[in-house]
This record gives sequence, structure tokens and C-alpha cells, in this order.
Amino acid sequence: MELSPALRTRGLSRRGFLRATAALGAAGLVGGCTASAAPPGATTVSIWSWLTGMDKYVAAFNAAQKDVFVELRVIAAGLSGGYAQQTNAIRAHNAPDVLHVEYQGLPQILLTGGLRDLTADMADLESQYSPAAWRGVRPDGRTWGVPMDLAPMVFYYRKDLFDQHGIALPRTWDEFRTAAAAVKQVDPQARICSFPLNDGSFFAGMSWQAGDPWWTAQGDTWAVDIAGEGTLRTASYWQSMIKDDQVAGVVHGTQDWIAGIHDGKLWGLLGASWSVGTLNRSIPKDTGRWAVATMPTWEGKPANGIQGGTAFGISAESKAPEAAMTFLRWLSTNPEVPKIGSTFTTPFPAHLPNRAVARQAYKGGYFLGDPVYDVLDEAAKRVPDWTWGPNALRLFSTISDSFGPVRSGGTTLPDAVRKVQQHAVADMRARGLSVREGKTA
Amino acid sequence: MSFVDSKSRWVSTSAVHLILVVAALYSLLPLVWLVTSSTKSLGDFSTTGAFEFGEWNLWANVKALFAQENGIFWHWLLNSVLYAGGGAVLGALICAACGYAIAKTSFPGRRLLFALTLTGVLVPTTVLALPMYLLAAELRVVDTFWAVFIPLLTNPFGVYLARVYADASVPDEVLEAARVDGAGQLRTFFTVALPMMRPGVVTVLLFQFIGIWNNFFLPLVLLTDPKLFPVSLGLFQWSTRQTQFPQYTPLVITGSLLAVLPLVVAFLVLNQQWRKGLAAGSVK
Amino acid sequence: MSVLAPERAPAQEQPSVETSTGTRRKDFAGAVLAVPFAVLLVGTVLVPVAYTLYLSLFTERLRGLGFSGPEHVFVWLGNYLKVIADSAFHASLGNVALFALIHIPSMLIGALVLALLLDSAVVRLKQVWSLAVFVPYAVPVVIGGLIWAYLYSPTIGPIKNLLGVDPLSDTALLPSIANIATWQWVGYNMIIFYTALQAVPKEIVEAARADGAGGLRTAWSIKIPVIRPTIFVAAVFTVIGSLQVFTEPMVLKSFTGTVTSTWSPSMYVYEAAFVAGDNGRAAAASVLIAVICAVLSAVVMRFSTRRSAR
Repeated sequence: MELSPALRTRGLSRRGFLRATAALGAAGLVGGCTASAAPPGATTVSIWSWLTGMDKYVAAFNAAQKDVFVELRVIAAGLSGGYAQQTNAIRAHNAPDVLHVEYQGLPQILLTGGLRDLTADMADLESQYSPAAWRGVRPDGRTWGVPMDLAPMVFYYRKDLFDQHGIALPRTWDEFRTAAAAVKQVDPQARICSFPLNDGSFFAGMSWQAGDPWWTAQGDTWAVDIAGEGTLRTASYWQSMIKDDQVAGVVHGTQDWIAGIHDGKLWGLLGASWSVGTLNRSIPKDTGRWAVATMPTWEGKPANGIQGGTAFGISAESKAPEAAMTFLRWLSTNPEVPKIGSTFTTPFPAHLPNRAVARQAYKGGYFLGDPVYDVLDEAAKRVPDWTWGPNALRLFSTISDSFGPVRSGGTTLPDAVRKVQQHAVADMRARGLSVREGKTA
Repeated sequence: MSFVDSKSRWVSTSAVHLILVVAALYSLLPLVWLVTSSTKSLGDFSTTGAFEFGEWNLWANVKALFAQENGIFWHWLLNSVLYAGGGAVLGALICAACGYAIAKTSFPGRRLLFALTLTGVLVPTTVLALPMYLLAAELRVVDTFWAVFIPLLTNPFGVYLARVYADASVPDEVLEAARVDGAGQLRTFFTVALPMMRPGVVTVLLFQFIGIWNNFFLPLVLLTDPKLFPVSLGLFQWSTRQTQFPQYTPLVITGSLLAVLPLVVAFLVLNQQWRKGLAAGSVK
Repeated sequence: MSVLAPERAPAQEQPSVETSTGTRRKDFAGAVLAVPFAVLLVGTVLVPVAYTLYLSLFTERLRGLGFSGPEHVFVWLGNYLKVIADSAFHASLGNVALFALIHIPSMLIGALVLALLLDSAVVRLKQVWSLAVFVPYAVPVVIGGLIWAYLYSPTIGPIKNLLGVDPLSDTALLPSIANIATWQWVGYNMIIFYTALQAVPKEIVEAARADGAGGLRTAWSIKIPVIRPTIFVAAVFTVIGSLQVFTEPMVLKSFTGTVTSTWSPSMYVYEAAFVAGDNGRAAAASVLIAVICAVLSAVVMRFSTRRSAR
């Protein structure tokens, strides 16, 4: 555990800082465990999370006050097991006080009845959050989580190569197609970007932009519209891109993807705000080559989706809900958090004042063109209405399972989308949920 | 085919050795790859050939590995040793005692126990994971060392082997003599029978060691605390993060190398014991 | 049931349970020795199996939006019908069937050929070859899976260039997974077969050779028949293992989208229980898998005893 220089110079109040150093130093001596002993009289709050850098936030929180002591356990990332672990823990009555719920996973966790209703605790904070985030923790009009960050999707591209070969930055999907063809023309081995077929949350983010939400809570019934016009439009568009071999298929962040970026065979990335960190870390020597822009749009109508975004919930069986809330309010709204965060990543907080702090703390230099936070801010403003359904996470695996054969021509994206809709509706009904198909008035 | 002349004999000898060389390469090249890859940085890993060395980065990788999450990798190695080592020693002893009891003593329910044991051999792990998890949840022991350790002690096949070993290697006359000398049943087992059964028990122990070391399903299901993970589960968890965080790739690779090395060494050292054990376990 | 004899077994005639009771100790203190295992067997096998059967008859129902929590409902065989009708379950069975079809013959034949080669007189450095092929068995399955996953990875692994096929594409995936299992187990079975071959009486082999039988012929008509029972036992274990294949596809899953979350029956159970949270369906599926396992091993055993009896 090291305290980065940035934290030292700008972070924390002086007293807090001294205590933090002392705590970290002590932790270092006993083997570098974050779970050093709680100060006497403190309420212990357990949290499970897979958020990068959570250990640093927790250490700072524990050092800054002594009423609440937070114990962190890093668990596997969401769909790699984190959700399963948390759901199972709720069922096994050994859930931690604080659970890591992304907006997309919140309704599914709610089915276990394992979360505490935070409507009253959070009421005063509504105006301070990005609307998309606030909606994300209120799937049925009650508040079930504390928003942490938001991950609007943007288009990252090799501005150096685009400029060098006179390819204009695509502002619509039609222009994107033209740009894709131009990239391939310049280098037959290169593609404008990858469209990974096994990533349900990516496809959801792409469809989100098209403006037909997959779920809507209508009174006591879920309206399910995964094969709505917007989604089918998205699917048909990418189907033709895949068929014409205009996009690569590698999964974002994999070694193959990095190699592709590294070798200049991928000139762009349809990614979320957190991809800034991925690019910075995986391809550090690409400094000064990339730029960020808002997503291409459908006929110029500004909109874009969100891929991911973290919130935290409190277990219904928590014995220390107040202490947990104290920590979560700190985590979500205290300006120290984005300052710490920007030492190792590019945080994009859901809490608007904190977002301003993150923007201040951002060390530019990697990207050309418009400042990253301007683009992300603009993107966050363009997010249309969306509700995640109670089967969103399951749907992601259905998506990745049904999209698998698309690349080999075994099926087409629109067909697969229709199959996913049928599958989702059947699955929800089988579990006893009240479901209506298609768009509702 | 008749007696072969020296020329065709030479040809067939070469052919035989060629096949063996191919088989050995097939078996060893992946491990060679593991060694070369452990020495590379994340960048080189994507850009250099699979079996060539990049810039020498092994030491940095190892340092990063042990620094990750406050040195969690140490916990994993230690846990694996505890689960597999402790489980194998204790498990083998329990199997030996039960196998001996079934073979050499007559207590009520002996035959039923043996029949159930044989059934137990055939029950797939898949069937046991979910109820084991739910039972552990009822007992509030999910995510504890014991929740993984105790189920892994159960080794019906080991009992079966131990029974056969006891039958074959502990003569009744010896037991009779011990009884005449006034030794109790327990004492007879520990001082007389167990030493005679030792080669067999060591075999059971080795089998169980590998079985536990390889068991993935149960820890995956029962553990969420990384501090309790065995090394395979820990590396698996890291590998699932690579998609989002490529910096885990060198950690997974270097960690794999360090986890495999002691096993391979132990294997080479215990080679003879293994062969005997495997032979015993297979001969019908 | 066959008898496993340790090497250098001193007692040739095995006293059966019935006839040995005369010399057997009658005191019941022996039960004490059996108790630890009996408790383990009951607690970690029998009770869980019974619990699985019980669970398989219930399901959890939600209502409305689902946010009011689930209730338990008894559904008779409803979960079984659901699993039997589930195309994902069929697909998983199809995958392991194909996996077994590739893995079992290639692994067993490979192991047998290598064992016979090692056993032949002409081979030098037997220790070296057998150790080399045996070493992958020392690699934990997860790590073996990871190593191969990287080797398969299209742009960084060498295999795509070598074979000209993407080992992780949906057509090549099955052989790729089978290959991991084969790599891991071929040496193990080779050693087993090789050891069994040591039991083939030297005189018979010599006699055959004197009669003019070549190496191939001796192997085929003398050595293989003698170790046939060993081969069948290995086959039974491999069949059961194949049906339960879990770790290899699970590891590959984070490398490629072509491995579905219900790729194998074990993954189906895992997905149902720990991802979908549908305990009833998971329990029913695992009971079905256990039944299929039992039937298959019975079939292989029957086949083997009939063959050996001839």
C-alpha cells in the first residue's frame, strides 16, 4: 500500500492526512493488511466490492474519523461472480453491511428482498446527483442504493491516424460506416473498432442510445421491450457492419484487443468513461494519439447510453445501517474521494459537486482534442430514460450466449435480439413476475 | 511380421522415439511457454512470440504478484498447502481407520457402511455443491475455512482402497497375536496395522492431495473471502478480471508458474511413490 | 466388484468378509475407527444428496414486480420437467457427449500407445519420457486451463498460426477443450497402463516372440487383452469425469464468448444455482446428471465384464 504523491500534496486535511499516514504505516508494518484493528468504540461496517481502489477509499475513511470502522473484502467483478456471491450471501444470511450493486444489477438483487429501503436516508441528496444515476437507484420509485459513479459511453479514436488519412470524425452512424470503410481502405488489416458479441452490458449500452428502454415498471407489471424498434435498428446496423467485415470482434480489454490497439489495427473504441483508464494503462505509449468524442448519433439526435456505473446498497439484515450510511454518504459525496480516485483512475462521480472535483484533479496529457471531462459531461447529459429490469444480469448471459453464432453466420443480430426478448419474457413469467410484452403507452 | 533385420529395426526404433519426442513436446511446451511468458512485461506479452523471451521482467512480475492486494498470493499458497496438505494427511488417516475397521473388525452396520461408501464414490461433485452450500448457510459457516476443509476430507474411494490394503497387508494372525498380548483395538490399529498399511495409506494420501489441490467447484461455491482462497481459485478470480484490467495478465501467468513449480518438483521427487500408488489404484 | 491389489501384496488369497469372521475381532471397538468417516459420509454426502432430492421438488415464486421477495412452492416434478424441456440443458449434454467422444478415445488410445511404446524393448530413457508426459498431471486443472487459454488466444498464442484455425472459434472450441483434458490426463493413464503391462507374464511375451510375432502383434493380441480390465476402469472414470467437466470450460469462458454459461451440465447446475438463484432447477438438474452418470458407468462396467468373460 503506498500513499501516492498526489494524495500527499492535494488530498485530505492535515490532521486526517497525519492519521492516514500513521494508519497506513502501521498497516504496512503488520503485513500490509487493510483490515487493521478497529479503534475502540467504533462501529464496524463490512463491505464487499470490486471497485478498483476501494481499498484506498476505505483506508482514507478509516483514517479520517474513528466512529465507524470499515472492513473491505474485494470480491470478483460483478458477472464474474460478484453478484452471485452477494446474492448467495443474502440467501445464506451472511451478507456484509454494504453491498456493491451496479445500476444494472440493483433490481435483480432486489428480488432477494435483501436490500434496505434508503428512501428516507437519501431524500436530501436528490438534487446533487446526475439524474441518470438517481433514476438508476430508484427502479420502482423507492431509493435502494447510494450512487457512486456513472459510465456514459463515448467514442475514443486515433485522432492522429484519422487526421493523417483525412478521415472525418463520424458524428452519425451513417458517417461511422463511411469512416469504417475508410479505415479499412487505408489498412486492410485495420478496423475502426471492435464490436464484442459476448458483452451484454455493452450491447445494452449501445441499444440504450437508440431510445427504446428494455424494461419499464408499469404499476405492478414489467413492460419488456428488448426487441423494440431502437434495439432492432441498432442490431441491424451492427449486423451489416459485421457482415461487411467493417468491425473487429475481439473482446474489449483482452490481450488480443490490446495487441490490436498496440499494433494500430484498432483505430477506435466504443467505450465507457472507465475506458480512459484502460487505455492509459494498457497502451501508455499511445499518449498524444487518441481523442474522445461523444457517440455517433442516429440522424443527429444527441443521445448515448451508459455502460456500467457503481452504486452501493445496505443489507436488510445489517446490524449497523446508520454507520453503513455514514460511510456511504462519505464515499459518494466527500470531495476527498474523487481526489484519491484521480491518483489511479479517471473517476466520473455521480455526485455533481464531486465530478467537478474529479475534473480539477484530472491530469491531462494523454488525449488530444476536447478535454475528456467536457466530453463525458456532455455524454452524461444526453442519456435517455432507462430502467434496468429484474433479470438484466441474466439477460447479459443470454445475450452473450445467443450472439455467439452471429459472427460465423449462424444467426443474425436482429434474429438473436428477438430470441433474447422471447427468452427474457418466458424466463420472467416462469418466475412468477407479471410481464407485458412490447412497448407500452 | 518375422524377425526384423537391423535396418528396419533401426527405422522402427527411430519411429518409436519420434513419437515419444512428440508426446514429450506436447506435454512440456505449454509449461515452457509458462516460463518464458512469466519473464515478460504486459506489453511484450502481446507483441513478442509465444516462446521467445522479451525484455527480462520476471523479477518485476514476481514483485508485483506478491505486492498485489497486500500480498494475498502468500495467503493463497498457504491455504492450498493447508487444504491439500492438512486435508490429505487427516483424510488418509480417517480412510485408513475406516478401511481397516471394515476389513478387520466386525461392528454392526459394517456392510451397510461399505455399501454406502461404494455409492459415495459414484456421487458427482456437481450434485453436492449446492446442498453443501445451503447446509453451510444454515449452519452459518459459509465462507469459513472449515466449510471447505471438512467436505474435502471425505474420500469414499480412499476408504475402498484402504479396505483392500488392510485385507492384503495386515494378516489376521498378527492381529490375533496383538490381541493375545492384550492390546486394545485402537492401539492395535495405530501400532500394528497402520505401519503395515503404510504404503497404501501414502497412496491414498497422494491421491487425496491431488484431488483437493484440483478441486475447484467447492471453494468456488463456498468461499468469497479471498484470504481463504486456494491458489487455483485466486488465480481464476484474477483471470476473470483481465477483460477489464489487463494488468492482471502477468500476475495470473507469474502466479501460475509459482503455483506449479513446487508441485512439479514434488512430483519429480515423489516419482517412484506415485507410480506405485497409481499402479495400486488401477490394477483390477 | 473388482479387487485392487497393492503392489507386492503379501496375502494372495483374499479372505472375504464372510469367511474371515472366524479370525476377525469381535469387539465392537472397531466401530470407533469407522466413526469419523461414517460421520463425514453422512454429513457431506448422504445428507446433501437427500437435501438435493428434497430441493428438487420446490421452487421459488415471485409476484408482480418481484420486489416483495420470493415464496416457496411445492411443484412435484415440475423442476425435472423444466430441465428436461430446457434446450440449454440439451445443448450442455450434447457438448459433453461430443467432448467425451473426442477426449476419451484420443486420451485412452494416446495413453495406451505411449504405454506400449514404453513397454517395448527398444526404448531408451524410459524414465525421461514417462516423466515428461506425466508432468501435466501435476498442474492444477485451473492453471492447465489458463495456460492453454493463453496459447489458444488468437493473436498472442501460437496455435492459431500453427494450425490456421482459431482454436476458440465455435467450430474448434470442443476439440480445444478436449485437448486441455487430454493433455492433463494422458500421462496419468499412460502410467497406469504401463504399470499394468508390467504384470503381463514375460514368458508369454517371449514365447510369442519366438513364434515370430512382431511388436505390434504382441501388443495387440497379448498385452492389450491382459490389461483390458484396467482400460475399462480408466474408461469408466473418464466417462464420469467427462460428464462433469467444469473447470476447463469455466476458465476458457473468460477468454472467449463461445463458451456459454451453461456449456456443460455442471456449468448448467452452477448457473442455475449460483447465478440464476433457481435452487429447485439446479437440484433437479444435478439429480439427472447423477442418474446419467450412474447409468453410463453401469453400462461401461457391464460391457467390460462381458468382454472380459469371453
